Amino acid sequence: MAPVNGTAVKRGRRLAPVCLAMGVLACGETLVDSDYSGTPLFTLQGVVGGPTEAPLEPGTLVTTAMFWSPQGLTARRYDELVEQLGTASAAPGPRPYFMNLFDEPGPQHLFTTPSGARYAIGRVVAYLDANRNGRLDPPELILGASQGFAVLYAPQDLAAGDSPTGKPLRAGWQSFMLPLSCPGSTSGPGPAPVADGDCGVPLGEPCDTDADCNGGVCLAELLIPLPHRMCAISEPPPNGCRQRGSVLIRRGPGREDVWIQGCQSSSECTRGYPYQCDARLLACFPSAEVQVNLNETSMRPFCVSGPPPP
Amino acid sequence: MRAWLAIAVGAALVLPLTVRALPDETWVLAIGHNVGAQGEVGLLYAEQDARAIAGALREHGRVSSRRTTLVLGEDAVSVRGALQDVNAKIRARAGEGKHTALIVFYSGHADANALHLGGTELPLEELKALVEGSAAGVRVLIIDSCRSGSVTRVKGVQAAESFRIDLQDSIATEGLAIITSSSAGEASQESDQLQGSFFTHHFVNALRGAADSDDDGKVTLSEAYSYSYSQTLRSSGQTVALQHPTYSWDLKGRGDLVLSAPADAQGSTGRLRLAEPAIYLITAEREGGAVVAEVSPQGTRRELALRAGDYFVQQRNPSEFREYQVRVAAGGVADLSTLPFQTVRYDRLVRRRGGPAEHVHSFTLLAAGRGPMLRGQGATPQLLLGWGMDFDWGSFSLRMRGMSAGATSADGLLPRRHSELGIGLALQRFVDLRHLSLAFGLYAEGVGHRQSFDTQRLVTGRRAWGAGFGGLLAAERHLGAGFALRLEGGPVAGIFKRAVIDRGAEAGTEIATPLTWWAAGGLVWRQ
Repeated sequence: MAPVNGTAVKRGRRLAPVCLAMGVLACGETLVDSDYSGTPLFTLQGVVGGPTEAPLEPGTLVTTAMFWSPQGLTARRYDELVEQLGTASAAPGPRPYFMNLFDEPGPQHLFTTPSGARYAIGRVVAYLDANRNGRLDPPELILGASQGFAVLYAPQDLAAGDSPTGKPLRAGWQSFMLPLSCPGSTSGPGPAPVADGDCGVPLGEPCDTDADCNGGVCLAELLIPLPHRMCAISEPPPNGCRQRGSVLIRRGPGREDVWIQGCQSSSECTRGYPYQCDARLLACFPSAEVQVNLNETSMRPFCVSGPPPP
Repeated sequence: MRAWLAIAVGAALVLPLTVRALPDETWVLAIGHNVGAQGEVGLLYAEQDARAIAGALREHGRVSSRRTTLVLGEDAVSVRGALQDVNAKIRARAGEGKHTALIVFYSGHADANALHLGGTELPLEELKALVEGSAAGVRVLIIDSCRSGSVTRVKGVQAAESFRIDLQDSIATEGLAIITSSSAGEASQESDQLQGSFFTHHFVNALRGAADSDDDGKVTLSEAYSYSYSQTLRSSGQTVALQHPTYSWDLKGRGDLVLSAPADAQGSTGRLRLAEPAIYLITAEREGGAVVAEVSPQGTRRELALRAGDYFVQQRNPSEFREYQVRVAAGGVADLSTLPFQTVRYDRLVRRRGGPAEHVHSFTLLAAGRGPMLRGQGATPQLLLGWGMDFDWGSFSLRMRGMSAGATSADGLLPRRHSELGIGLALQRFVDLRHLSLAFGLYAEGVGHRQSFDTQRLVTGRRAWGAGFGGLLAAERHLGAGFALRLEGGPVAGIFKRAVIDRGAEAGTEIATPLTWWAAGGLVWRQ
């Protein structure tokens, strides 16, 4: 703490009555100005990054906004997405971003399943808002999107048959990694082994080496980089013990599958942002940071056919 | 007593009476003494009162200066001797068969029993006996002193009885009339502004013509008394003690006694014809000069006999003063209705301490605009109601301000309405120019804020209390009928709790003190 000299103390004492008077004169609730949009229903944050093919001059404002797919998982192009007004914010070039969502998606954003259930699934899209009207207009250039991440809003709980993740989802907001497995896709490898052991591995905890994981492995990367690494159990486990409540993540041919900490909600995850309970994996995973890639101007699909993606 | 007085004076005004002028052989003895008994506060204008009465009777009553005696600052022996001398002269003239009259005036200290003349005393009964015993056909005794009303009660001549005299039958040219400046037990007051006593001042003005209620150009004894009574009562009503003049007379015959004929102004005297009924303040030469007369003229003629010269005349109407600069020529008539005047509103008079009122009420209605107190608010329309008072030291007003304005969030999707109700106090100091009044001052107010939102978003309405401070610069232009156009403006600062917003969401609280502008225009009505 910096030393406080006598003059500063005296000034503080002199100002104390002024502060007290101002406190008395100004009471009640706080007033808000035009910057205030309300209490956010959901908050997204991440990084807008990557090289872009667009000729961006230094300082060019890149606008990020939430776009929803009324066609559900079948949308393949950006023009099939519908922008949610009021979500756009602009800042120069590659940067961290922070997006508060104050409105629920409207009817024009929702997808209705054959059984009548409704949900909205969408992406963060980056574009050049040339006319600065806070919305994407046809001539304006799309720079990229959160290709590997999706946001989902469900007005009501979704049964597994209606859920885009194929797993039951609670009503509300979710963000998770893409791609999903398209409905009707062929099943993947056989059923996962049963995890019912008490292995003593601190699944999900930060680590530096495997020694920190009490017989488990310390992963630096799993589909995406893992901030501060994460303890997991490889499949098959060397000691044959699979932790009860853990989730098996299949990494594809040639790579070792791993067991990580399972969850039903983010409150079960011991690690803070960007770790959350990923709605697709139902595992504690650093997917809360939604990356927006400027280097892909064509949209990746929300889902892929075939075996479930890793 | 007032009821009897009203009846008596009213009868005198309406009944067709014969009027008789003062006879040529009218003798005036005007006594004044500024010093009373030991321990009594010295008077300033008692001797001046005696001069004024003598002068008025000489100028307007045509009493010869040879038969006018001024006894100023003399003791009881001298006064007694002077009265005996006058009586002797009258007795001699009466013996020659001449009609004679005696008017004795006294201004100075007295008590219920005697005049106080510089440490000596002249008993009231002796004074009255000397007047009553005079050989003059008409004897008038006028006493302007404290508790002089006791004179009208001596020897059982009660004031109430005197008013039972049927004026139609008994107003006469022979007998005794006594007029006193105050009732028994009352103080008689003198005024620095009038440079004389209330009673004498109004009696002199009565003789000048202010009391001519029947417009015949002559002022009778009853007119003079009636006028002096009402004006003395009015003037003393502005002080701590009321003063009720009294009279008692025992006159025989039919008719009224004419004391002056101001319509026949001659010599160095001219006439000033006043305008609408009002109180007029007339000063010599200019505003602030010596007070010549404060009059409330009776009748419709409303003429006042004045010495030729320049006068400043202030006509005090209920809502404003009119100020004239008048030149009265010898033998001429100056008619106010034909002369230019300046209108001076009461608020200006109060502010420069020139009027009778200590304050003026004002009511204000202003439409206003104010700069933004919150980001994105823009200029907001305001409505202001005020009530205030103007004093000589400054003006204050209580002001109630209302505002309601809509705005939206930066994303355009959160419409909100911000309402304010402020109650505050403004202090101003006016500078009155010829056509314009400028004001500068400060104001402070407490403000209640309310914000409401018309949205499906997760927001709740807000209520807050704050304060506002500002400086005021204003200009007012009088429009007439008490109304003035007012324009005002200045810097204004607010204090209230404001949310710290981060990416559209509330992230903290701060005390905001925005500084912006205020401009308003509207009407002020003063009473």
